[in-house]
Amino acid sequence: MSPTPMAKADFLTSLVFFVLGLYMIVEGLGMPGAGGFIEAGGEPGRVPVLLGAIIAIFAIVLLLRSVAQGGHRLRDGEKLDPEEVRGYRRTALTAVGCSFYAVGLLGSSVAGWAVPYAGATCLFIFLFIVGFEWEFAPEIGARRWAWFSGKWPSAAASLSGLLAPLRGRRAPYAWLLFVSFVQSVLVTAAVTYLFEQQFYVRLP
Amino acid sequence: MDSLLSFFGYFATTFGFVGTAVAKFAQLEMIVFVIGGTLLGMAIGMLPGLTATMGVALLTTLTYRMESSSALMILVCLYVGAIYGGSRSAILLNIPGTPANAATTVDGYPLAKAGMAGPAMGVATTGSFLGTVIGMFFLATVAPLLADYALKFQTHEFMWLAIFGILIAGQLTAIDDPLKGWIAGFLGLSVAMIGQEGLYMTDRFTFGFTEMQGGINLIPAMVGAFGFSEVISVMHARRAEIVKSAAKLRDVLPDLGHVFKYRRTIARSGVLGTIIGVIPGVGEDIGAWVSYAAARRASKEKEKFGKGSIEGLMAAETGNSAAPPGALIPVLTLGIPGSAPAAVLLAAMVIHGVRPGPMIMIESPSFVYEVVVMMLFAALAILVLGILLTPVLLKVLSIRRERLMPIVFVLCVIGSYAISQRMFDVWVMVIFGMLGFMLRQMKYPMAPLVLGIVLGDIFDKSFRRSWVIHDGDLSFFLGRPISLVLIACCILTLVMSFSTTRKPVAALWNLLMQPFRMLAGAVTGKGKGP
Repeated sequence: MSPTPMAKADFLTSLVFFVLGLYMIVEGLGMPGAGGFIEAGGEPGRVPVLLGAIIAIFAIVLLLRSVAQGGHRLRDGEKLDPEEVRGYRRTALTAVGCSFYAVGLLGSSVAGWAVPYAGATCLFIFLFIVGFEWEFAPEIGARRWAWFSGKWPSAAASLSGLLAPLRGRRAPYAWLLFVSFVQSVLVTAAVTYLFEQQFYVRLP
Repeated sequence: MDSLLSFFGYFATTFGFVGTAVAKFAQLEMIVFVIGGTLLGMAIGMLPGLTATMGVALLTTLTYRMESSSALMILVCLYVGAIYGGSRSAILLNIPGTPANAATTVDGYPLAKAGMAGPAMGVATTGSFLGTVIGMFFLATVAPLLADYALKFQTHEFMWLAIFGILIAGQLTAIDDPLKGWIAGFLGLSVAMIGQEGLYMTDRFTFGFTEMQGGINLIPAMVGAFGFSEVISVMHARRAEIVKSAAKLRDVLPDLGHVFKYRRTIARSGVLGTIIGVIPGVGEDIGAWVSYAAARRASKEKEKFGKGSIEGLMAAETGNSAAPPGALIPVLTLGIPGSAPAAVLLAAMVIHGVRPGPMIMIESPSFVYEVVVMMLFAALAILVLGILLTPVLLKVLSIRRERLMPIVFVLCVIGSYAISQRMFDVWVMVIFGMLGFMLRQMKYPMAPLVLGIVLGDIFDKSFRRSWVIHDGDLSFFLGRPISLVLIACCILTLVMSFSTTRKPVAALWNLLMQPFRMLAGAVTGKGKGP
């Protein structure tokens, strides 16, 4: 029987937890012992050693359980289905994009110039929306037009000729860029005003 | 006679404090905060992936400069609103808006598919309102008594309480795999070891960074574990399909006939939800499931459960809404959170100068009743807003995640930075967000982790202090009834987690209970008797 992805994940995490437990034990034992102003029983390392030991024991149980389920056979098992792969791609993009904004852009400086909060935030929101909505742009554009023409059929009929050049192949992408830009500017302005002017919070 | 007088005296005092709190909060400004907080909570709860914990954590950071009563009112209303709001997506999307609404999907979605989305939302509103009110009643009556009793706890008993909290939270939030729940709990305790310890000011796990000497601040960690990780989770998941609902106002109006017909289910679910809320770290989701299971067992319409049962939906929503007031009982009396959002509320109370714990009824007795009144206002707000704004609120479900999530993350960054104004907290948020997402993907529950971070300091100090006080004599662990009961609870939790040991223990329990059952049977005349 091929191992489940969870069994493989458990195998890897059990190793991580075991190392973490051992590290806590070693580090805890290296902390100052009783003597001087530290009373016996109150040593700072006592609880970390205890917690490290408990985590290491749990990790061993998890390891044995995952091995019993074949989790150590990391190369075996079924491949991810395409939807799952797309999900993990979105996950990676979100994690990397958000981390870059929070850790890379904010509080940093480029060529001696501090990156302004408003600029970084505006750029982040714009790129986030465009990055994730790009593939849906034609679908969203068509849906919007269908909604508009359903709600105001006469206006849509008279505008359809006028807007014909704008409803070409590239129009939904242009519309997406425009809407994303407007949203990013409005949100940045609102957030900056609300927190700086109303809540007196210094922004990063 | 004396006890009767003291009983009436107790209730008179309670009503006096509640009346004072109502008078204090019955102002236009507060009403605006109640409406704003509840609406925001409902919107957060409705959006799949965004949870009450994330909302409370984020708003704690954004309201910390406000006057304490106003800030806490907003947070309590947001908490209650989010647990209720999650029922909308559970009914219309078959996706629980928050984990608390998982049991709601079982009967809520079949009702919506059968064209009864409006009445289902009405039942959810009624259940949530009544659940909150039942929980609130217990908060007002039990919390002061428990706070008095908690004064008897000694140092090492807090240590056992912390261990019991981790074990029970680990077991109940990961019923299929308690091992992962316990690992999460002990990881949380380990995170709390980072920084200067509180007895001798020795650095632990700081890796030479001065920023880490203050330890990991709970709020940025929570904003990461529940905010950023939820942003990643939402973007990871498939897009949900909404059931078209043209719910009109009259459809969602609560049906008093349902309230009367299912009065026993409502009362039972309210009590069970509150009790589950009181258990450390075990919150609304378990409250809903336990209430749902109990309602199904006792129902005369068992066959309808899972196929669109009004009773099942009522039980789930009453159970999950009774848990927030229940979860605040240990927060106020022991300083131990009953659920993950309650852990953030605990931190928020500390930020606003309140010291929850056994001394609360001595230091600020009115505060407990102020929280009760906050709950009351929140309950009334979900009843009114839930009915009046249903069509408007449903629009929230149509917001594209790609448009909303960057805004949520921008708020996560500001929120984690705002309290101490240092980038280190932003890094903590990002790291906890990534770790939180990975742990969730591997089915590690977050509630024990949070509980561990909150209880870490109590556990560390009480463990070492008691060791020093008793000079290393381990018999002190067994010396008092409170610690004996707590140790027994810990052992029982461990034993009941394994199928091999569960059956013998259950058999032993039945054997021990047999004389009492026979006695009860003899008294009521219904039992088999000896």
